Amino acid sequence: MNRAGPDDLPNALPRPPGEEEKLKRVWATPRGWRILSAVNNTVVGVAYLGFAFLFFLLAGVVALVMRTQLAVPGNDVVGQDLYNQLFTMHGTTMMFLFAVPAMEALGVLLLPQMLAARDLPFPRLSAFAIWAYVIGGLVFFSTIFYGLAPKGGWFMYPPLTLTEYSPGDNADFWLLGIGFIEISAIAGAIEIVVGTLRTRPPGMSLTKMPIFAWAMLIFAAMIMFAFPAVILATMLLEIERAFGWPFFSAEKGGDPLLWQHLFWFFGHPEVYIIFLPAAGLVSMIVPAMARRPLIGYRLIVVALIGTGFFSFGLWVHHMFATGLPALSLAFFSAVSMAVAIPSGIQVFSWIATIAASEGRFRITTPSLFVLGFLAIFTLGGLTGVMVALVPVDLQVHDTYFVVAHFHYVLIGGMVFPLFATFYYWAPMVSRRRLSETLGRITFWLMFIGFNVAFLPMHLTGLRGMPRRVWTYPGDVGWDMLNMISTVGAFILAAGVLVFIVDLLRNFRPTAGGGGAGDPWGAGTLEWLPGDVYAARSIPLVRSREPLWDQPNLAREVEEGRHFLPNAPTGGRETLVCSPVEAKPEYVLQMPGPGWSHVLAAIFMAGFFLLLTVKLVVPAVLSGIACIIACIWWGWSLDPGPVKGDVPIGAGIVLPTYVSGPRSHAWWAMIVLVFVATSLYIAYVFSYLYLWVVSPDAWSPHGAPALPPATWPLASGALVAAGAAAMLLAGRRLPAPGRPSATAPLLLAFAALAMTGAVVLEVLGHWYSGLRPGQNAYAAATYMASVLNVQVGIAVVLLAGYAIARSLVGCLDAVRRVNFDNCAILYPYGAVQILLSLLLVHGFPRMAG
Amino acid sequence: MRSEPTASFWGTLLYILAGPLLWAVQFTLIYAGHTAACLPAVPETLAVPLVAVPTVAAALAAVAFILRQEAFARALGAPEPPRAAALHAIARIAVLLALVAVIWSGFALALVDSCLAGR
Amino acid sequence: MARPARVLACTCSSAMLPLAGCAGIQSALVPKGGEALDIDPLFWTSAGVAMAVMAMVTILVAVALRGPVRWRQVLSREWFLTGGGIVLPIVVLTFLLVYGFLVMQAGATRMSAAGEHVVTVTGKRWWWRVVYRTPEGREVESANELRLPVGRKVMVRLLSDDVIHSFWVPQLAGKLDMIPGRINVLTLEAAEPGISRGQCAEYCGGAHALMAFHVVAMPAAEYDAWLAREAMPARVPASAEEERGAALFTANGCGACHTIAGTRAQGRLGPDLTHVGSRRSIGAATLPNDAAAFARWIAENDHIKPENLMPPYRNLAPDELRALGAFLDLLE
Repeated sequence: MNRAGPDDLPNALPRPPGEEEKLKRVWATPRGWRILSAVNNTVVGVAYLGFAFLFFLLAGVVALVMRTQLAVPGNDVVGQDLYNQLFTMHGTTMMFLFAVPAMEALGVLLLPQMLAARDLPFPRLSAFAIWAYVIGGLVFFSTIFYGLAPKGGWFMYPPLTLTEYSPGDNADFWLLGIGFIEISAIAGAIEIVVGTLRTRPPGMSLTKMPIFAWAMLIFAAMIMFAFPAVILATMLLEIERAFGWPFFSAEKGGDPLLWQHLFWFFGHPEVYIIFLPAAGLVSMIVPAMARRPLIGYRLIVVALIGTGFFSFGLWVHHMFATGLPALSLAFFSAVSMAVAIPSGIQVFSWIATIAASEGRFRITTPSLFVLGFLAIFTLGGLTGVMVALVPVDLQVHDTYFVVAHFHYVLIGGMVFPLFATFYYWAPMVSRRRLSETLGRITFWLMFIGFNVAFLPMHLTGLRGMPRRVWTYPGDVGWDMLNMISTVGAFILAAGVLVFIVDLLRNFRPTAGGGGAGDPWGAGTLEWLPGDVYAARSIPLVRSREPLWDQPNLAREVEEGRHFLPNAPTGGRETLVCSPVEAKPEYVLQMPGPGWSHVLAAIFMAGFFLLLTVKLVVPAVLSGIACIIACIWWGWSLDPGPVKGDVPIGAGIVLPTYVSGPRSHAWWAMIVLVFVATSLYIAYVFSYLYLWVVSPDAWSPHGAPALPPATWPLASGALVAAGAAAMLLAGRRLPAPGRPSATAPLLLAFAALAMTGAVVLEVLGHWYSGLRPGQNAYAAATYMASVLNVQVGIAVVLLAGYAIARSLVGCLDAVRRVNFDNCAILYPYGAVQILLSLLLVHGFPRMAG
Repeated sequence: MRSEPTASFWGTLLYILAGPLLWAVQFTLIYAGHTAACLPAVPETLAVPLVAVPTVAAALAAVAFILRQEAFARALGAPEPPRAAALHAIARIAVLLALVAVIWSGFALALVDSCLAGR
Repeated sequence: MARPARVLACTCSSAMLPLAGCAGIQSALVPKGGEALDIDPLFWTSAGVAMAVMAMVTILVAVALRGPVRWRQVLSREWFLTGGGIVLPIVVLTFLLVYGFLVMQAGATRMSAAGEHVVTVTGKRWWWRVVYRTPEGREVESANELRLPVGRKVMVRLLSDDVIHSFWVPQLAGKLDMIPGRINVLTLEAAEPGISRGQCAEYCGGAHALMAFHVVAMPAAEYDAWLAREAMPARVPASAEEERGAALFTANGCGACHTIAGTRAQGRLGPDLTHVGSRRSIGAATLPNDAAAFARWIAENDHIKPENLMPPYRNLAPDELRALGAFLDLLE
């Protein structure tokens, strides 16, 4: 073991007086009701997790009501209509309001601690995402009390969810609820990608990252590519519901299966989006309980990467019964098998680590939940292999067998690790540990209840009971099995109840201050002693388990002998390192508590909610208020290089302001561009898909001839000129303190050019006589412009913002992050528009 | 730590994701190709080359990656062996894993008719 | 999970479905026809593999937790991890995948070899329109029940003109969706005579739970005779009460939605009632088929099957309902 001598440490003792007090002051959590303005990751992380858990309880109660209804055949505790709402809400709430947010919450709460960062790189962004989610989620869930809840199933298949078969606002509330989650998930993904790649401690290269950080990185990357598909799907569905553009109506050339492709392209990765972080948590707890490093770290990283990729090649396995060609199904069957290998790797790696324990593997409440997870998840994975076989799936698809399968995967694969997490990491944020006694009772009730509830369901399904039925006949062999399942569900619920008692008795969050300390003797950095500022100094990391390999590390960190033991800029800050090898690059200045992001979240929620209930004027006002709040929020975020360079220790002096590819803002924009790209790819897929289904609807046979080529050429020329102006503007940014009109004018021209290009394209089709409601071709054609308008609005807002900053003298050749943001999005938008022109005008000419 | 050249992030990313990306390309090609081959206007027999060619190409590329791993690492700007041994192990195992998926999807062609309805 | 015996007594006494069936009537584990018989061994093979792997993992975890030190050392070796986590899954899954592909190919071949017997089933909210094509090319309409000749391959065309439904008779075949704008084709082949139950397997809103049907497999000769009878017009009322029922049927406008061949009732919105009395159930396997059930259905179908698209006729007096019930029951 390599023990560093005192002289090797970055900072010397004694530390200057008042240094720690200043850190405390800078990072102080607002008190009283002002805590709503807090942004510290440990504060908002706990709140985030708390709300996710609340939704788990609510959706769980819904499940109990359903199980009560199904306890005996022909029951009428709840009627048909309410039951249909209940199962829709149960699925939607568990997936969108509990599982994904819970995992993001753990990312917010645990990641910065594991990386010994002071906070995530965009503290207000995560707070914004949380408030949007809380407001949207609560309103969405409350619709169940007014009979307004959606009842199309969490998968919302059209045509059932089109206005013809689902009149009323119920389905719109589903689309609204999902809209919030989409926004907060993407915000979370940006946060996690940039946080994991850039705010690691010096020396923590990619392959020294804790497995949980790997899992979260892949989780966030998967969100970047999976969520856009469902964003597009929900856009198409809402547009068809509101304006009648026929994407899914077969009689006008649309296809109901388009929804299924888009939805499951999101929906299957979604399962792994939930599972991967949970597997990452298990990979943290197992070594701690074994007191041994994880065996097979490299294999597990490959398993996580492999799962992340393969999960995008499985979506059709939800569609095996739709009558697609055999070979097509075979491809997806093969990938469904391939995704089992990474799970096998992880299971064997955990077994190997348990076997390698120093002494024996410690049996604590977290390890009980981990072992329960191993058993349940393994069985769920194995039935997953069974449903991956097309012929078997044709029998069990949409039956209780599948219900059993995915509850084994999701409760086993996600809820059990989450409870392990509660017990394992509670001491990090609470003054007291949770009770081991109550924890064990919780575990056994949950484990037994779960298996009693869900094991019989395999048989119920094989005996032919379909899913989503509110009642069933008594003489087909399902009654006893259902009664057993109901009893099990209540035992499971009793376990959760014991856990709540434990929480009430023992959980005492510290509002950002340090917790009860490390009871497990674990090796990773979240167990460093700390306070509101997280770790006192940011350690130089040499291995995967620094606390095991550098025995004095905790003391050295607390004494302030590692990096950045102070607040040299006088504000909140953290260290940003290079993404691969974690070499220190700059000191990131971060915003503290504030109200702008809270208001932005409230007004955004107001905008969507009012729009759903068709109060258009108040909705627009709320939307404008949201934009104003965002501008207020953003205004303080580009401080410029006023603080100069600061020393962080070991003779390293770092800038406190950077722009360009090294800055965290640049990385966030790149993530956003990836999101926009996958949204656009999903659109291109939809366009081509609709053509495959109904080529007859395409111009020139089924629709008016395309506008003459001069239209797209003019549109393309405009946007190309705009891109050139943007490029030039980047070169003509004035030197600091020397105002110039050139750059703002060029920016204005670029924004106008893009607007013009988008408008020209729409006008061209309009004058050719094409109307979006006509058929699928027309809808798909205009949809390209919808997406272009979306990017166009973002570009215009960013450009306008940069112009405003420039007019008040806050934008120059050095202080240029606001300009750079626009300069990243603009070329993307230009390329997207040019590709749309090529597709919309070129493809029909080629195919026709 | 200071003396070595800074690793390229995008290069490193491409390097460790080489296998899965290879699979993703092959999968997209065979799915799209097979869908095209089952269009009414296209002869069904076209499915064979449209599936076989991407499969064989991806498999060969995977083998080439394993044989010439150092050269790939250097070309992409990832930390070169022997530095960051774990990174290279990850890249190698990921390619092997992808190879399995490529072969599994590909050999379906030998056992299953292309355009009949799947049962 | 042993191969389940029929542990539940065959009570046949529920209010929901007093008529047909017992445990197993809708079970994929009791296959009685073509595709279901092919899938069965694949299912049991994969279930067996799953149980074996589950047992292995349980034992390994137990050894890892509390086993002798020497054994635990073996479990923590790199080769154990590679062998168990990578090589073993690849070998086992390759086997299952190939087996699955072979069954798929058999299924695809069966589909392409379907004979000249064609039935079209259209999913409705929330019932099934069933149209047989006789050997002479005539179309014979029925609803909520499918009759099959034993030993013949029957091509079942599956359509929908509202939302997505899924046609599933577990004892005969896997499910296949009915999707607006598409025609899916399923080949059914009953191996033995008997009654089986099917149910809609894709959530279709409202009364999805009450959208079932019976499949009656009968010897081929009997089937041919039955189909010939089914193609004939409805029986005429004999008793006074039946005549009164027929008159009420006309007077209340039932013919706007229902067809009774040979009468002026030619509606197409609801199920064809020409031979409704001979079916095993009414309301898509929601009620048994007798005169009393007809009367109940007509008066309070919105309670029996909420949201179904037929209006309830509460205005009818009990004796009128009885007469209607008697008339409909007569239509065998």
